[in-house]
Amino acid sequence: MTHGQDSSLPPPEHAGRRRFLKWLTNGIGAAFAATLGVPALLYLLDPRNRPTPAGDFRQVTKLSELKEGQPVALTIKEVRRDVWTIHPNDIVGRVWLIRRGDTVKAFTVTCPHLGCSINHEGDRFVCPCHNGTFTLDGKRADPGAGRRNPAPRDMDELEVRLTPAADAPNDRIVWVKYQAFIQNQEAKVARR
Amino acid sequence: MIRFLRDWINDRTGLGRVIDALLLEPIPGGAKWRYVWGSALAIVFGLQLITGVLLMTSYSPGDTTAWSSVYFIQYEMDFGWLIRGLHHFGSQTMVVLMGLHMLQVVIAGAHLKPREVNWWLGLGLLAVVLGLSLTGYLLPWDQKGFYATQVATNIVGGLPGVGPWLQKIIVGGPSYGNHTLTRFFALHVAVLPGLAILLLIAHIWVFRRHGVTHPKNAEGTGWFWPDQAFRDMVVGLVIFGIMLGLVVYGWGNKVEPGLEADGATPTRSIYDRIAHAGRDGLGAHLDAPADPNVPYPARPEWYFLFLFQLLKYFEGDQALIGTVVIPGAVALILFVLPWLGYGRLRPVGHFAAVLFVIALLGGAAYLTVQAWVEDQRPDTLEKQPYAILKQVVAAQRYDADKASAFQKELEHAEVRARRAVQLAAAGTPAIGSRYLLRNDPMTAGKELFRSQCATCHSHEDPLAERHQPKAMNDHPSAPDLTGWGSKEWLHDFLLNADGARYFARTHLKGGKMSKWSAKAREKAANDPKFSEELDLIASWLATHPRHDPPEEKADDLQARGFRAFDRHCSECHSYRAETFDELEAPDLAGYGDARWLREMIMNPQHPTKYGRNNQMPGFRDINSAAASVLEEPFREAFKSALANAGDDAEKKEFVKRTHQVNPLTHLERELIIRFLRRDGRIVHGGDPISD
Repeated sequence: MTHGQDSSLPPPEHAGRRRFLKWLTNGIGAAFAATLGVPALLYLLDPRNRPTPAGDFRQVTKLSELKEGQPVALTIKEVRRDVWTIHPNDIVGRVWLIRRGDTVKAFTVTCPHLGCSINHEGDRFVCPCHNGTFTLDGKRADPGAGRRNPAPRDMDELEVRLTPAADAPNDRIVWVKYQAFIQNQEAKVARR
Repeated sequence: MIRFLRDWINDRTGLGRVIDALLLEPIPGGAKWRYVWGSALAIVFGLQLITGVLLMTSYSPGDTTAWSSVYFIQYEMDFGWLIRGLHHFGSQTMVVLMGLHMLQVVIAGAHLKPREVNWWLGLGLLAVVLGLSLTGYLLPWDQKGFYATQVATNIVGGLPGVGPWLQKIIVGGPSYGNHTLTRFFALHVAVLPGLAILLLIAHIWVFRRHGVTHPKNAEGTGWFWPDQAFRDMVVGLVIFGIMLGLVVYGWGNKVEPGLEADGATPTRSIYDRIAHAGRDGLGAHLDAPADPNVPYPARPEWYFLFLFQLLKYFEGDQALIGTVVIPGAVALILFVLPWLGYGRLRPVGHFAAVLFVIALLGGAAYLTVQAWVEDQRPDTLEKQPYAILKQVVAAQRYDADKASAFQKELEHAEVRARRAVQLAAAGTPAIGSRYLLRNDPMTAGKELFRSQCATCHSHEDPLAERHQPKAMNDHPSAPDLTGWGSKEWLHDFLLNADGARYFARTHLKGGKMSKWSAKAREKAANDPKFSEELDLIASWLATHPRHDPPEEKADDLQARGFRAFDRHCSECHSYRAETFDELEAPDLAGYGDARWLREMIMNPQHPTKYGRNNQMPGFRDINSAAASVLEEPFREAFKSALANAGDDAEKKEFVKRTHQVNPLTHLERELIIRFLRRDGRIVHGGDPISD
């Protein structure tokens, strides 16, 4: 900590003792920093302890409510926990459902590019943020007008399960397993 | 490499010269241990800044969220208990060090010419630190801070003239709420710390201008770095150690296993035990969430107790003397203290100042102890050294009844605090932290049972406090519902239907069930096989069965229980009855589950419940918007029951009495149901997490 030939410099006597004191003072300072710093860091990293809730199959609609080839956006309701708050029956996400005969396809509305909500426009799904464009089967499509499709992968398809409806034997209840996936990468990987 | 980097930075910024100027301070007479207090304060203030910013990353200033965010820091986040604990005890350390620093300054005469301005800067810092303490106390938005701070703002409101207006500005509206928190938060994390930093810089700047106040005969010169810095650091470390000790000793609330817990304690890793030591009661205390509808025995934090106690001496229209005149006079005297020691008066002024500060601290200590003693239970004060303390400070003033009442209220508040912490682990309802207790079956449900049901029924209070009776009703005219629907309750009932806990004071005494029970008691004593059958029925009913009647071959509990029921009970009781005309006793499908109880509470005279034997009024939400539609079938049932009674006046009276309906909202009903079923999960305003 000595700089230049300052006239205010302390006299050089007891140099050994002074060096020891400096060393000790810095040492105490370092001990301080560690006892506070390590817990502080772990405290700041606490969100690592909060996992993404594992999605479960949720009832969204009945098959008879869906028209062939016509996408419908529906909401998924779940218990949602936001740090300390618990919402027993909250909308946790939306899905596009499209009926193909007796089967149903489901896609999350979240764009695999950067997470905006994908809209339905005519025979396309289009993301309003950066023109991510998809066919009604969720495959990446040419946005046209010489633009590049920014989506790194097709729309994220969700698992669908159909079960018999209790009151109408010919109808089916549509269940969707809602999940969120990591954006902006080629591989479809569920968030943890 | 390091040297190169250091030289490069120094060359481009001149930082080295700044550091030199800061550290190479000559100290005439050498470094001394008694010079450490200022630095110690600065170190603790630094600690408060660091822990404060850390807390800020997780705190949410809002009426519905503040308490829960603090709960989350204290009990859920890694080392949150430590950060919050250090901040909590750090504030108290600041106040103590402030007193010591002031005393040291006055004894050394460091407030006298030419250091007057620095004395005033110090007084400014004192005010700011007390302001930080006051604003910080409110932020957890728990009962303690909420009520204690109300006292402070009400004192402002009591000022003549501008008082009410000023109070509204400080509180951010007519009563405590969101803007009280945001305003106190802004003061606590930005305005006051900013002011403190500015004042501290000025304080140190002016201090450096005049240097330490050394003894006149000082010889030689010491240096701040490292001689004094070492002493400062050692003292800082000791203080930090004491703070850490306070945090680890802990005044926090332990998280106790819920009523639903099966007794098995999950094994916790060593890291978990340290990172979440708040759950074991380490760190700062957290009271129940602030609720203006729940009274609380308010006391300020201990270092403000003397002001609180001072107020007791000036009641009624004299209050201003305690709130404004005396504190104002003290502040004024402190302010002019340096001027008492000019010229030849210096020794006199010096002596007077020492006397005044010692008297001030002594007086505050006296009042603090007095306030403490006045709040203690009589039996605490019988022990030494408290007995002597009481003789010294409050021999005449002490009022045992008042003190006991205070402690009782405090104990009640503690029960609520522990319960709130226990509930918050499962998540806070979005409508706010106070609904943890407002919608808690074991708190609100219990009180509803007490007011709505315990006029006839009884029940043991599962969370009865030390000085409370366990039973909610000493002379019940209807069954005691403690443990209702459990195997033990059912088994005991089957053998003692006429007993004091069951039908003894009801209309059903001596009826068919009573006779059956008396016979069963006799038979069970002599016939082990029959005893087993009773056991089986109780076990089966305790599962609240709603299953289909079992197949011939089935041999599980459901099948065997059902068959035992069929052999012994089905003469009177039905199971999943489809027609109601012939029923003469309650249908036992689902007996003891939430649905059975819901139907029973809403419509006890329904044929599948107590039908024409019913004596209980119904409890329904008759004031809601939908009630006019929903009540229609009940009106029909009443009419037909009245018609069935014919011309018999007594029967008619009975029908009228038992078709009585008391208002009870859906939420209230669900709270009572969960209370009776020993289900401690809070009710989310009609949105069940699960049934």
